[in-house]
Amino acid sequence: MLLQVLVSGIAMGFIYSLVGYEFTLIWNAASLINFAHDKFIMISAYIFAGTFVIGLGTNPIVAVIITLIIMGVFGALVAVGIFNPLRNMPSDLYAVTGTLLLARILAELTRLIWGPVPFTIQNFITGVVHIGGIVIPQINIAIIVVSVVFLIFLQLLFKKTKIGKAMRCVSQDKTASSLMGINVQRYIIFTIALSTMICTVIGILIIPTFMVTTDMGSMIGLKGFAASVVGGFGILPGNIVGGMTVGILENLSILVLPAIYKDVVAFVLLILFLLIRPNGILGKRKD
Amino acid sequence: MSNVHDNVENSLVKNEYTKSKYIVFLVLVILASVLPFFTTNTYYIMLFDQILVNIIVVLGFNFITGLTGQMNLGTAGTVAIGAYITGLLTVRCNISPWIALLLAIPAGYLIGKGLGYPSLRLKGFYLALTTIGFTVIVQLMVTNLSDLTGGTQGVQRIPGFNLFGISISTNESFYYFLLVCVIIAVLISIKIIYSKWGRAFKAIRDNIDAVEACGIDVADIKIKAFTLASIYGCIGGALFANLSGYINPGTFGIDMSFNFLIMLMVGGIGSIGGSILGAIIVTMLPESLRFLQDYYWLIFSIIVLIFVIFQPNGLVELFNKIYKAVKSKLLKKKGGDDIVDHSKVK
Amino acid sequence: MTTLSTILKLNNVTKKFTGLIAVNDVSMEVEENTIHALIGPNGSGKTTMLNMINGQHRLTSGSIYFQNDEISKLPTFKIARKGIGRTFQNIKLFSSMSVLDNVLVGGHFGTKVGLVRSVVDIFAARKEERQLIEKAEEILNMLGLYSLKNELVKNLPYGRQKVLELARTLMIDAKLILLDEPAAGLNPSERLEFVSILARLHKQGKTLFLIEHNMDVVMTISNRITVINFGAKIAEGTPKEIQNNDEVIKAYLGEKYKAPKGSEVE
Repeated sequence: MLLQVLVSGIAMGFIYSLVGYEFTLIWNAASLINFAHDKFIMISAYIFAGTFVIGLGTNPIVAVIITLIIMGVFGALVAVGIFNPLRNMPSDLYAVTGTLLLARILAELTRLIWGPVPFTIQNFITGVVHIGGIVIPQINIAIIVVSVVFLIFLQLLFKKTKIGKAMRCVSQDKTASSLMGINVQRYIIFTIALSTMICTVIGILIIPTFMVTTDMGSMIGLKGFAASVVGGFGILPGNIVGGMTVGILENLSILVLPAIYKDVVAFVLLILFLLIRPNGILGKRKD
Repeated sequence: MSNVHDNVENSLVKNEYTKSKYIVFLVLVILASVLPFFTTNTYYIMLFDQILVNIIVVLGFNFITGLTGQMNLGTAGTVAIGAYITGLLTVRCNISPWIALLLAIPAGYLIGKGLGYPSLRLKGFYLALTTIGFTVIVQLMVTNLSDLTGGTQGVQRIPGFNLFGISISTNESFYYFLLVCVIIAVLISIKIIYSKWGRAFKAIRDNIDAVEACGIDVADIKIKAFTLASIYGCIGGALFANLSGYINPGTFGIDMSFNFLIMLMVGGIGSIGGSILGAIIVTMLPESLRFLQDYYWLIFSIIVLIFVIFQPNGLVELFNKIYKAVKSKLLKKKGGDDIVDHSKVK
Repeated sequence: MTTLSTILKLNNVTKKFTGLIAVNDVSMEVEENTIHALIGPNGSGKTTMLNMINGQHRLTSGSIYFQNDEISKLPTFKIARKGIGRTFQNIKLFSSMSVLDNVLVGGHFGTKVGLVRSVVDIFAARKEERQLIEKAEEILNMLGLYSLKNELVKNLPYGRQKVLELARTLMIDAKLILLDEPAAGLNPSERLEFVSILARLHKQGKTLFLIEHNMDVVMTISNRITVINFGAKIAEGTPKEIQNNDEVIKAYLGEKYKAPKGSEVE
């Protein structure tokens, strides 16, 4: 039992880490909190499942690639059309409202295009594996494997490629970057597009567990914020530390608390950290 | 040489302009009072009731986000607590709805203190997260403590009010009761905003360092703002429970907090008129855009988004701009070129 | 030597930020009803010192006394209540509010009517408000801002905004006013007017402690000057003494201010 719970915890931990990762990227690059990120996750799932796999019967692997491309372009468009104006507004409040409205709009569009009925993909990573007498859902293994591979890919992207390095420069210091000849605007858009593609990966990974519905990403999106704060806001590795902490603790909690409180754990952690150690586990102590 | 009494509308001090606002308010109250005579449709009356309850919540919300500029997405949690106090006490313990309504005040006070303290150390996004966390936790607890709260079934058959034995739970009489509540809420808001308190709230939004340099205890003022907002919110929640007769946890999620935020922003942050206007417009929306059928929510969201980008300070600011433009045109006609543009003169 | 009339005393005040010593063991006194200037090159720690007096930075070590009360550990608002007012280098006014409202905010802490009573006891509230407005309008009148009382701050010319910041310090009944580069950004006629206002305040008994780069202003108006460089005090004295101090000339002033016929005007 403990092992199963741990594996679930680690799998969800990776999901939360990825969520934290994608919105931290946008925060570092554009100083904007993307409250619509959970809808980016949702719409990726709808496009992948609704349009391609189910609608057109496309091979899942091909569908993944196509969806990634579409969402990348989508992210870039949103970056230019909506995030840019919002970033230039005088107060945080408008940016928050703006991204929340964007979330609403996306949810409504999705409902109108694909209909309000939740659905899922038959036989899509829905089986279980038997490891040494313990039954573990395949999806958890898939999530862990895919996440690890993806995170390694992201590390390589940032450390080894020119695009990745440029994105890191832009996140750290826009003025210096532009003085080095980096087209800051372009790389901000790239960063947002990359963040959107991370949302796509998340969206596809959570289909078996959460089904395809308009609020499939809501809880995950919020817990992703919790993960980020717990681990250390604004610090990319903080998302992994925080994500694991939240994922494992909330799954372990069902061993000691009634299962209905599982969701509450993440938010209690969030508030505790905000009050006691807002810089998170990896963050520096305040001066 | 311009008259010293020009531009009095900029001031948060009682003057001729605030008197004219009272007159506008009186006119609105009269219009509102005769409204029920124009329709016997129960649905519309309930809609008006809902608008009145929303006005109260947004008026409170205005103190903390509109004036003091602190991010707050916890309105749904506050409303939920007010609603459940009324719902549970009246249905389970047979306590009079009047007492339950009065209990919303200390409840709001406690919530205000509870949310106020984090706001002292957290700003912007972190504060938004804390208030979101508050709403989510309240919703989760209410859903899961089913023995206490009825869980997803909610609380049913919440009784209406009785005044000296006469029931005021029929639609028209409840409408007038709510109208009285709104009038009281607005008058209190006016008193608070057009006074040193309103100035202190706005000053905090404009420049916290300067406020401290003026000897004001910012922590104290922030908590006062949160407390006011929460008391209004709890009362709104209690009235909402009476209005609907039935409450369940699903209603009180972040979407509700967000609705109130939209009301505040559309109407105009920081102004009483804006809070009222925003509450009316957003609540009436499903009706007025009915012709768009399935698309109305989408269209509205897009309109509001465009609004936020181009007219972020809401409709009231737009009206103010028009008022000032008209006023200066009229004055130009009267006094030739007496108008002095102060930004160009030493 | 601490005279009876010392209003502000800094004892071995040091401020360290990570890796940088901004203020290094500075001790000085400001006498009551004087105009005392703090000068030095950019980055020498002047604003940091002002911020420490004002409570916006905590001292790393040392202590600050205002009228014999230690204020080093107090929060900014309590220091303001004791009678220390402050203007800022990049003007911190309440931009969305009117001129009158900006000054009225300064009167807030002196009032007594609580929030609940404000709503319920309208007579007490009204009376208090009237007194506040009277005081504020008097101050505005004295500073020549009365005719602009209902203008929004963001519509005011820069020079007027600076005077408004002063008005606010008068509203809190400041006995000591800290000024951070009051002459910055003003054209010559605005500067003259501002300096004459400062002189007037001095006549009314206020103590002014100012950071300033404009040496004409400093030499004309100050009674006493303290010079700091790299966070440490390098000289202190009357304007004439400072103008002739070699180390100050080398570090900051240059030869221009070495006036043979030292004549400061008061």
